[in-house]
Amino acid sequence: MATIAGQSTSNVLLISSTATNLITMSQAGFSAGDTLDYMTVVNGVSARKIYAIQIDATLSNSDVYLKLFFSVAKPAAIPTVPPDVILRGSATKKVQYTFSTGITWTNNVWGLVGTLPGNQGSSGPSATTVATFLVTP
Amino acid sequence: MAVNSSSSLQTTLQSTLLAVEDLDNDGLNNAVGGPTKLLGMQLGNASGAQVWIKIEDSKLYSNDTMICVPIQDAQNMTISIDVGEVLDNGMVVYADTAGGSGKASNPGANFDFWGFVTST
Repeated sequence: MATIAGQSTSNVLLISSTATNLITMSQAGFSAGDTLDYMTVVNGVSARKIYAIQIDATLSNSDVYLKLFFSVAKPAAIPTVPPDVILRGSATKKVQYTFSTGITWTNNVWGLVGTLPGNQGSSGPSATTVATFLVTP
Repeated sequence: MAVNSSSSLQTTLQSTLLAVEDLDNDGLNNAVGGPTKLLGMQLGNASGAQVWIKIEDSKLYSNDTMICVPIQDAQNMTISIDVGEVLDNGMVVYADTAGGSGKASNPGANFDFWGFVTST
């Protein structure tokens, strides 16, 4: 099965990083035959928290759902494993969620953006959707 | 942790409403009638374990979870949504001992929820 071309993350946290980080995860537009796949959001650092997440779905003509999963290895293909975090971003809008005491995770953080809520998977946004994470000690 | 409880919430919203609920056990189906816009939540977890807060649009314990966030034990968290998220059919809210869709089991004790909603 093919994964979505153009999936990417930048400034993925590494074990040596100690500062506050902005991490960008870009989910490319979905085409027939594509398969959703988790991307690495944070690798090797767990003594931190996610204090804010922005979902930019301004280019998407349908609602999107950011899903995060906390584990050592990349989880099995959605919807096999229930995500630890689900956040909706409405179609054509940009939304910012803030978490006053931060979201704590264990091991690594994996993420994807789909168009179905809950554990459901299989389809991605019509156009590139970008999630940005504020991660700090 | 202060525990506030109410069995039902106002469903006609002409202005912003602060809803208060003790979510130790069963969730609230149609906690706020739709359409409504969720702007934020205040959560207090003293249940003894991590709890996931879950928000759905009209169907309790469904596979349509639109917001799911883990709250550590002994933690209070405020979640703010700057432009709000609209629930067309009404807000369903419940607390769970696992992530993802549907309900695994109740936290059982000392999990508090305050919802901040407004008209659309």
